[in-house]
Amino acid sequence: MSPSPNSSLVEIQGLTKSYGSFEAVKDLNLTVSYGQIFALLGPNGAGKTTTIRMLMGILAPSAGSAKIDGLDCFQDRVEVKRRVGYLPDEPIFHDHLRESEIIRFSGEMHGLQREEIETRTRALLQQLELTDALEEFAVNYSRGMKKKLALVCAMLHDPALLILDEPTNGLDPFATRALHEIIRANAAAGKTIFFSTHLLDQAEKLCTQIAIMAKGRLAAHGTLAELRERLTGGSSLEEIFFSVAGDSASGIGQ
Amino acid sequence: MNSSRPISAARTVWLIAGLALRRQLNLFQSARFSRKKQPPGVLPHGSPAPRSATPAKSRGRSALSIFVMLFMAFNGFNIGARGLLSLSAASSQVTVSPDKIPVSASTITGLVRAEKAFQRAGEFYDPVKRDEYVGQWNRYVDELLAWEAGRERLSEEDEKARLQQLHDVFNREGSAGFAPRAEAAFCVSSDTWPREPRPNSVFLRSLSLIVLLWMPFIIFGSLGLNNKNPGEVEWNFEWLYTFPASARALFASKLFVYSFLNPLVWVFFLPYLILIFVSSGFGYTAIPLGLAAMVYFSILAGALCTILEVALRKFLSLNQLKNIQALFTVLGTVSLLLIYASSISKPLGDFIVARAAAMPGFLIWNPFSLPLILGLPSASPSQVFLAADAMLFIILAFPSLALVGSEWLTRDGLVKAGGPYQGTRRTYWKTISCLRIYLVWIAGTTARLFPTPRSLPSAPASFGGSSICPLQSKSRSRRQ
Repeated sequence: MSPSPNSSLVEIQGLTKSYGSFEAVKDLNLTVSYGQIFALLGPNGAGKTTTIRMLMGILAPSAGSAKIDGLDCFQDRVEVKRRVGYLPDEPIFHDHLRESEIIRFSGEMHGLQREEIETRTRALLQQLELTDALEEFAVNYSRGMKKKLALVCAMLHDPALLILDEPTNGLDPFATRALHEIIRANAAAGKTIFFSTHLLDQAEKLCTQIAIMAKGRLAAHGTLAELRERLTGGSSLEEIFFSVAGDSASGIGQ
Repeated sequence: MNSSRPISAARTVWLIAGLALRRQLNLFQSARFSRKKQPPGVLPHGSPAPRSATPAKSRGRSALSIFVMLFMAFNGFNIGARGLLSLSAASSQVTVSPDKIPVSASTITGLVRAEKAFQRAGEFYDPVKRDEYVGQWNRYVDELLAWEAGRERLSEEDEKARLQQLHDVFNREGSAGFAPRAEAAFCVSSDTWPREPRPNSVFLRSLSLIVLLWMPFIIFGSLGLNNKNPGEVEWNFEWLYTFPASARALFASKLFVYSFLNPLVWVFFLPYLILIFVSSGFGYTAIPLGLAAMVYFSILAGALCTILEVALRKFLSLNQLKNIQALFTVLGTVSLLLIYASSISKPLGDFIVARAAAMPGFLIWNPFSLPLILGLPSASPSQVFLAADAMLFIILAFPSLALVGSEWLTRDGLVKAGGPYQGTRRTYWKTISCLRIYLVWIAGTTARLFPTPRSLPSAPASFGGSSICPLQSKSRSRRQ
């Protein structure tokens, strides 16, 4: 992958996911450029996780397309996954597997050698305070620990795009701060971060681009400054969010 | 940047199977009855104490599971042997005329001796000596028949009726009214598989019915007892789906894990298959043959489990999945209990043999009976060749169909909707309706397969080894 400034890494065009008459995601259009920290905001049931699952090829879109680095997320999902690190909202691991075994397996599934895996994970594990739990079974982990472990696995193969679904859910303040540092460091290294969150202050602190979804539709999209200017005239992200998400059906902000 | 390298499908299967095996080993490894105590806060290599807030899961359950596994492995051999021996005895009995009363071989010998003695009684000219002689032999016959009636452990009233019936038959037909009862041997040997044509064929068919009982145990047991996947909110498979591996490779790895890393098969089914080949006279070769048959059955079961799990996960909601998992657990357990009951309970064993004897011969050529044909002592080379060819075809066709079917089912995504919306957001109502109709049809057919309501009630009564059997006493008193 050759990142070029202002070129789009993620391209979503007319993306729709419907279940019978119910539309979980409706005509979503988004682009995310290389090196951006992109936040997908929205209330519960807005369609954030469905969008992320379509990006990961787990769900097939009913209409439209989602592309990562020019590859179709569903048709070319094997190639896409080599370019993406994914942190699900609820990381699920096989029970009775040790942290070290899960990490090794994740690395090996990406074709990495064991020494390579150890070298890559050492610093991350220390940063996320997971070193002491290397030999513990994941079944004994708290939600936050699982999340941190899933983050390590997602970053093992040094992907160009990190897709994080509610990354700070279940994390303590120390881990949250560590995660923020990791996100910033990755963005500084030229990687793209695409994450969904409920936490508006987190989005405000980290993101270069923000999209707000409500009832399956894109209600607003742009930089924080653009949204402020366009929507509420210089107010906080919280006010923008409430004004946009509360009146989503009319499709404001487009 | 991006150091992910593509891996082959074989490597994917290898890694996922290795992970599943590691998980199984961890389960056993964690089952320690005691651990070497460490000073608080210090680990052997001097690293700081591990986090302690989230307590570790109980290890007692794992220890118990190891004990249960070992116990079950022993039981697998024990019950398998008992089942084969009782089936063999019952199959040998099918050629005996129903007009003759089965008694032990020693009783027959005694009756023949008494019969000859009664014929010699005419040689006595002294009536007193003759009466004394006949009286002695009458007492001998009384003792023999009383012992025979007593060993059936009937109620007092039934025993009297049975004794009278035995006397009547002896007085009417002599020793010709009796036939030797096939006695179950102590252990399985090459003599266990009957060699006479009719019992040989009935034994084979009976085995095929028992193997048909093993399959639901393995399939439903794998999906219900040995798998908590269906009832989980998130599917473990979704995690694997996030790795850069093709869907086919992932499904193949699932099939491999279901087929070869299923402890239920190794612990319960393998001993039974080895014993089948021992009974057909293969000696120590029975071990590799049993293993080969297990591989065949495991692949069939693994293929069915794989496509079943994918289909269920695809079409059912979480609540339905939980109910289905519970149903599978019940079905698997009931199948195992039926297998055990057929080994322990003579009426159920006899019932299976009777059903097998009435079964058309061509039904033996079904995918789940083919390895048994290889074990048939009287099998002709052409039969063995045909069975081997059919097995080869099936062992390729089943997994291929399972993989293609799983891919087809997930052609529009691994799941319909994730998380709590799983199965509740549907686009294919027609498919769901068809599936429901099919499930109802299966339930109806299964219900019809439980015939002869007179036969089954006796099975639970005799399952625990009890000899009180209303059916037996009724049928025998009918002969009177």
